[in-house]
Amino acid sequence: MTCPTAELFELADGRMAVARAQGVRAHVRACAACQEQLRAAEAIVGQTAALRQPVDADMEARLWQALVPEVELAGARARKRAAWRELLGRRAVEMLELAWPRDGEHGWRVWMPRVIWTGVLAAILLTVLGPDVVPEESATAAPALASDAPNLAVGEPHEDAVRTAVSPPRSVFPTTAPAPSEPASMVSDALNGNTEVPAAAPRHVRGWHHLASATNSATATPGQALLACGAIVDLTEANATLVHNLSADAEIELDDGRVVVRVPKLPPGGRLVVRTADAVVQVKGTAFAVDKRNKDWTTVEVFEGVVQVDAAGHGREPQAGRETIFVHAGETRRIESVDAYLRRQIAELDDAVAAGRLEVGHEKAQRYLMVAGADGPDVDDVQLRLGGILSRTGHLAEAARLYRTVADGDGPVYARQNALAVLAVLHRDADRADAERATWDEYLVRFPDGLYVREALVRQVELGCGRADGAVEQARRTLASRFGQEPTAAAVLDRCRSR
Amino acid sequence: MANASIHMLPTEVVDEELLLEGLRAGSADAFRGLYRLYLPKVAGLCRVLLRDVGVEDAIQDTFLRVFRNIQQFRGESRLTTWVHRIATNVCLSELRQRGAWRARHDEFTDDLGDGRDVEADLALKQSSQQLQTLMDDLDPLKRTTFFLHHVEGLTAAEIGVVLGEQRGTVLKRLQRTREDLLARWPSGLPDKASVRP
Ligand SMILES: [Zn+2]
Repeated sequence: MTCPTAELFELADGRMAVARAQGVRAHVRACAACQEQLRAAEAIVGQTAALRQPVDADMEARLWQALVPEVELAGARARKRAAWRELLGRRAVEMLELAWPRDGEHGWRVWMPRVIWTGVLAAILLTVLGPDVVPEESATAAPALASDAPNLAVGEPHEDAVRTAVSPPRSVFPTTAPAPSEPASMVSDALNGNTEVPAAAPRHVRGWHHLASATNSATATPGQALLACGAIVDLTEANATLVHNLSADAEIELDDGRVVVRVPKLPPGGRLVVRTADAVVQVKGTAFAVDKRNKDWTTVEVFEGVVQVDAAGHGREPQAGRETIFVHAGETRRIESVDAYLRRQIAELDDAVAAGRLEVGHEKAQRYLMVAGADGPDVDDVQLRLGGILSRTGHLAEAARLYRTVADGDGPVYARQNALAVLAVLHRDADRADAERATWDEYLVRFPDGLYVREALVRQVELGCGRADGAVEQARRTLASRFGQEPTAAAVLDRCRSR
Repeated sequence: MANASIHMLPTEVVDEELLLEGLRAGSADAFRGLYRLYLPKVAGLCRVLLRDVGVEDAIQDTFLRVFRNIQQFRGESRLTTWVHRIATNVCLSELRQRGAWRARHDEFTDDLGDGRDVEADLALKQSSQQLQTLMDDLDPLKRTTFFLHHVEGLTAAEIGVVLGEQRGTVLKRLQRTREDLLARWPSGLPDKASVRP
């Protein structure tokens, strides 16, 4: 017997089958060289445990801290994934998952899906990590108007009543309004709602400004305005455009910052509107503040009375599809920007689907599409989601129509591919073999290097199983040459051999 | 508790199926469980491959990838094989970036001895970490193969999955690695002892 050197380690490791071990031991007993090698092997094996050193608790905690955000993300991903598996059906999702890269693979099959999924994950990230955009109840007590009272003072008529002034940079906005300083009687009256202020000529004032009433009897200090309609507006912290005219209609375009408004009494037909990028705030007689210091939302805080608030769309007009709210005294409400609103709709859509509340998901999707408009962000993704909901709730024709719209639209290539692939799966699930085959044919023509080429070919071969048909033969050949090494493809080829 | 070493956890009792179920459902507990279960294994492999440089980064990177890709794990292999494969890829790619990979590989590919003298042998003999010292001189693939087999208990076929190789290739390398170690082990056979002409 030659020396079983190769096996001494297995013997030392105690892994060798008993029968074999007996044979090796018999040899070792009679062979000095092997005895020495076995001792060495045993010594080496005896030290292997030391290679796996313990990890101290500090390091464990430190590394875990760094991983926590990823865990949260993975949790969110898993929940949404489960929801979509539920919605689209296991087969469709598994099919889509085939495009997901496996560790260690290379080439376009890896990076292409990565690009796509990065986009998807980014969207999820945005929805998960985005600001809390739920309308908030007044958490803090509404400050008394007095503390926010416009710092008005009577002075000489200002010659440059519409002087253009530079608005202060955002960073220097005081967090609270300046302390009142000796309010003059007329302004006090105005604050108390007792003053009749004649209408002023229409004018635009941007930013900080001085504003005189038509009688030139009162001048607001910088940042405050007494409007023709009788409203007192504090623009100290605002970058705003003021539009007011003889008909007692006044509008304030608030670009950023915060305005505090008190409207003692509007004349009949009078109207005061504050517009921001997110909200249209309409008022008859009240005291309130509009705050646009956050890019994602506008906050409306009402001290007295009630205001009507609509979400703003393009042109800062009330947006169709989003509800009108009334904010009452003591309340503070946040009106999201369109972007934040849309992000939330997607998040809520996914959550609703995850909770099995498909009708809510349906409504969210429709609302998203209505508010986002045809050119809005991620419209294709939401249409795909809506298609999933529709097919799940038995509205197959509608779903198919939607998938077709996305597939033939001018959205991103992955959305068009996905739509066509899911459409094919829809036909498959409805046992419409001809329609499925035609859809996969179309897929292969349109996306010859697409993500689902393998699935398209597999299905064409499966559907043509046992038929001698030129197209099926072609699919069989392509599948064999491109994916013949892969178990799924090989199995299908094996099952559906050509004759 | 604060300084307890976590490799003492009764890792054997963890049911892989249950764990996977939790991971697929996105349960934070399951992720934590996976982390605690595999941290000693991953740390051991990273240390053996990278010595003491960049070990923590590699561990972190490994778990990030594991967490990120857990949904793609389909149970085609054991979870341990999959995690080790990711850890190995992370470490080997780190070595490659350091440029140490090629140099060490060339240096040791067909090398059975490195001229260690008798005194060094004696010093080595007295050390409790002889194996670790000798391992450091092996090329990364040999180190990985030896570690996964003799420390982590993976079969040659599983190591093949980890390294993307045939089982036969793994077996051959494993045997060469054992011969290398035996030859340089202080009490090894005289004809394989490490004296260079
Ligand atoms: Zn022998």
